[in-house]
Amino acid sequence: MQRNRRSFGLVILLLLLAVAAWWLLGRFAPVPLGISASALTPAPTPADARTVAVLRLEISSDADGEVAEVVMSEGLVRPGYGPNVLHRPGAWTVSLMAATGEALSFGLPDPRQVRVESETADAPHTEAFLPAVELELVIPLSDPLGNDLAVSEIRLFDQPGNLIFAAGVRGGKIAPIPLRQVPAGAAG
Amino acid sequence: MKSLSLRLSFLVTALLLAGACTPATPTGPPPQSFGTSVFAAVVTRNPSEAIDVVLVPDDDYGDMNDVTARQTFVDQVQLLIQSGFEMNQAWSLNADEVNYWYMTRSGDVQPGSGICPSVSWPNLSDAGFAEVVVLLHPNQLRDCAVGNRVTSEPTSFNTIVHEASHAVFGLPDEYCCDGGYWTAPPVLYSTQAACLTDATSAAWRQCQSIVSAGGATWWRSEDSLCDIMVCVSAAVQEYGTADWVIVERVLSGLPNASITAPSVYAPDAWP
Repeated sequence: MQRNRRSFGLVILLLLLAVAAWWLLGRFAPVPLGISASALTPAPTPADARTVAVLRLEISSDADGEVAEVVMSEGLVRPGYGPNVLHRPGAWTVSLMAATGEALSFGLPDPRQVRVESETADAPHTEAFLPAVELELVIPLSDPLGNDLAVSEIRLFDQPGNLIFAAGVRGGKIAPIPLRQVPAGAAG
Repeated sequence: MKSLSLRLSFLVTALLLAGACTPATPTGPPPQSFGTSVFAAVVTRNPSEAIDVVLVPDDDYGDMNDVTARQTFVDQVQLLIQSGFEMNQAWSLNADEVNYWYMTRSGDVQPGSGICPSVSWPNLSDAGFAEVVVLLHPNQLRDCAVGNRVTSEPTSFNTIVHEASHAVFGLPDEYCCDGGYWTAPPVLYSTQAACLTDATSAAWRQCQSIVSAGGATWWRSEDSLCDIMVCVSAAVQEYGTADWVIVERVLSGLPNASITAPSVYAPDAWP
């Protein structure tokens, strides 16, 4: 009886070690050993009060490829995480203005340039130009630590540095600002 | 006494088994409501501290409320992570700074009438935090990428990493002549003088011009070096030295990030 108990204890110990090893391997393996589709873990919503601005812009260009008009079809502020954009270069520039000056700027690719998969193995893609395109911009209104940037204005510049769109952010609302009302010197 | 230790063994085993079988985060049936269509595939950090890649299924993968269909898609996601992102050392060595998510809303990609396919994106409002969104479709066709939205076959590993590098790190194209070019030192400059005088690129600088299809001239610091922003053949999966400067800069902008530099740069491959 005593011997049986000892063997049983040993089995339990081995089982324990196997479970611990499996758990540790799964936890520290650099590459996932297997992703289960049955464990649905929703994307978190911010525990703090951080918000993002979501702008839907309709951009049209003239025959020379210059931006002719940018119309905001939708603009809202909502709670959520935005993309991490710090230090990101790009053809176009988004500038977030606060009362004290520029709070943050970052780049984004020219949304009119569509990258088309190449037919040849070595070239990644070729480009196509869309004269009319809809751009959805998600802009963080907080810094990476969640501190409110107190953004009062969002400005969008094209590649040559022309101001092509501006919107005011007030009380959780976004409203386009006529470009002529943006202080001289903001463009470029 | 022995009986007590045996009972204790039972208790510890039961607790460990329970702990091992319970994911660290809550599970449940596929939710349907707003804010719950994006789920963790490999998630190590809070989205505010990470690069977030969201993979969206084409409706050809079936109903994502069905666990079997969902597992088929998730297996493709895993293959893409392992054979695409993890084969690039900058992504692999900094995997702790990257989250991979998948969406349970489906899109649809079909051959289009023009150069690009006809794409029906699902509602992406839950994926607003993503630096790049990739719609994976099993049918073969010629894909396009616009902004941070990319469509691709799931096995176009290097193409997906190339496109993600545009969206996430702001890396420009570095091949001639119909790519997307912008000022991004120390990779690309708008003048030869800027390329030749940038202290950051002094160690490897071999400035070479690219005349874009639009007529503008750009200067690349790494002459004709074949990296993943130039070539996407199977052998070329790494960034060049200049690319890493920008990648590191962006990664360093993440709070609490611990960045590891690659030990291999293009054109060499790893492992």
